[in-house]
Amino acid sequence: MNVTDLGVMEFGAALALQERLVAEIVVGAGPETLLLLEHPPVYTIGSGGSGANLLDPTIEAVRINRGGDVTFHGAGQLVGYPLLKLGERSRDLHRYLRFLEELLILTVADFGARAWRVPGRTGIWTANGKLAAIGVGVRRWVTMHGFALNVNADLTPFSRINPCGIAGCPVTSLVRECGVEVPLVEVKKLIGERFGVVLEEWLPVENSFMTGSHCQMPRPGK
Amino acid sequence: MATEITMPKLSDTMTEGRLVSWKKSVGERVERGEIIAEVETDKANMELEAFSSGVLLETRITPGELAPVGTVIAIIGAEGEQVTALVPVAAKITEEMEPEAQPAAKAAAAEPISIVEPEKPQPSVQPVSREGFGAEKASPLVRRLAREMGIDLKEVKGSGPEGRVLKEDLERHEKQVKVEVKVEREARKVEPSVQPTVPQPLSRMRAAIARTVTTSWQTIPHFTVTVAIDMGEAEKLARGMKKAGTRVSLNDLLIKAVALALQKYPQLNASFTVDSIIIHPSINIGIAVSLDEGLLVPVIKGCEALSLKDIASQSRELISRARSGTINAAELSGGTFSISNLGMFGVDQFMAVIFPPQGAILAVGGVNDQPVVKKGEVVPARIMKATISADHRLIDGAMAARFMGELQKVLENPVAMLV
Repeated sequence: MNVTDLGVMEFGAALALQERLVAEIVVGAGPETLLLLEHPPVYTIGSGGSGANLLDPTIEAVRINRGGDVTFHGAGQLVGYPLLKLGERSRDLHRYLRFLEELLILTVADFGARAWRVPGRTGIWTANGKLAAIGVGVRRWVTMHGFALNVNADLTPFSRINPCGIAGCPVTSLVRECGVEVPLVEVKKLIGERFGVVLEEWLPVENSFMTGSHCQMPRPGK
Repeated sequence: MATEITMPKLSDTMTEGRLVSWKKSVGERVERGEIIAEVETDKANMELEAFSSGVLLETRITPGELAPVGTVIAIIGAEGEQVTALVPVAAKITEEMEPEAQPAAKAAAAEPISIVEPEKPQPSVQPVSREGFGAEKASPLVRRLAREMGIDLKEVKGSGPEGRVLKEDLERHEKQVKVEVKVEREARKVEPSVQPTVPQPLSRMRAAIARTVTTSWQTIPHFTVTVAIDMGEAEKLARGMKKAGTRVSLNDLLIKAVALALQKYPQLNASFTVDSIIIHPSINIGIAVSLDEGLLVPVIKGCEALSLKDIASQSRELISRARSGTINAAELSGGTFSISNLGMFGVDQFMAVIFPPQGAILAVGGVNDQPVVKKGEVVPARIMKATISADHRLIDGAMAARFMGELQKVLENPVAMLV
């Protein structure tokens, strides 16, 4: 898997980059890629999201083509944008969301935090609230946008919105869960290494010969 | 020829999708491959592209609305085309299907790619009127919609050309009727009425159960097969093992027996997908555990490789963790077959609902003393009734019967489980 560390990049610039890479992948001119980065502070809102979840009227949110409602990105939050050919990997959006959750649950577990899924509330959760948010867009079965994991992020900007459209939704971070400092670079490194492994386990590229009733295909965790 | 745009199925587990927005408006020209709408399922949005060129003739849902997978949400056809042709033959849109080239589309296709066709918004494309189709002027589509909504066209004031009834007129009419009904109800409210019912919000578990069983019941054609099993020998075995210091419940024997029967008939350890059958190499058996607020189904994984003792200890551990709320997502997922036991409630037999994407579930009742005839004599026996619910897309009656016969054989000769 092609993993690119973009460091800190403005949301708009990163969106333009995603758009360009997705266009290349759609026509078969580019490889599948995982972009890992941090954004300077910005609020974004999914295209189906409600402006009513911006509790502070002075906030401006970028409206984008992903699922989910409003969220916040800022320093200390690891953002991942997997650009994948889902058309060749199951064509199943729910399964893709469950895969992202699995990747995040395994990664935070390595730092000693226990997180889990909550059915109907995409993302990963702990007893203290939401640890990572997920919102995905798909164009011609190529994925864009992805996940945002609070590593050592300042959580106060979340109090000015209803994160993901859930009123009073508590938000937590890896540092808060572990009680010790967790360097973002380490989380980034681990998630970059693990991504391809979990991906192949959950969403292997389908072999067109492997169809029909004799096919034996394990489907982990479904 | 016009084509219908349907709510796409973007996941095996997707039953409905929400329309986020239309990227084209009615009357606007659409080229094959262009994005016409955005739909949402869970936290993922998909841009919906047109598989044929033409004019967007009609949209049937509005942003924010949910539509079941497969419902027609829009129609693309030739400019000014009568949507009449569509009504009897619902042309299902598929990726392979090339639209029959309309003159307009052909012209567009013939142009070099570098030339971008200017956008030609057509704010009001009305289907060409047809005379003598009834006293009220309306397209067949509007007629059909009116029928579906239970509206008499005579009562609707048309706002189209020559008093033609449009889709919007139907919607306006319906709203008006609703308001009238509401006013009527409010007027009645003056009288003291019964205590209002307070709706209880769904717990997360309730919502998850509701979603799962609805999907299952709506998509899986269930059928059931019941057998009566003499559990006398199995009970003896469990008692014997207990004396020898190994705690094994009848439930554990049941799990082991199911695992053995599934090894013989792997077709019951399978999932149905749109275009294939997946036979799971591993036997992961889910055990339905009832809780005050609902139920959880922890999964014992890899049962094909587990001894009766292993199954007993794992099942005890998982069930107690499910009851105490300390179970994690991994332990609740990955099941390939499930068992639900209501024997402890004095239930004789019942039918369970399949957990998608599994292909079958076994429902077992309690063990009761019943007279049976053995070698010409009436003797008491310990009878347990077991009912399998099977996905008929995967499993036929005879296959389910063979599986149940094998399960019966194993439980009535339980020594095989110790090997």
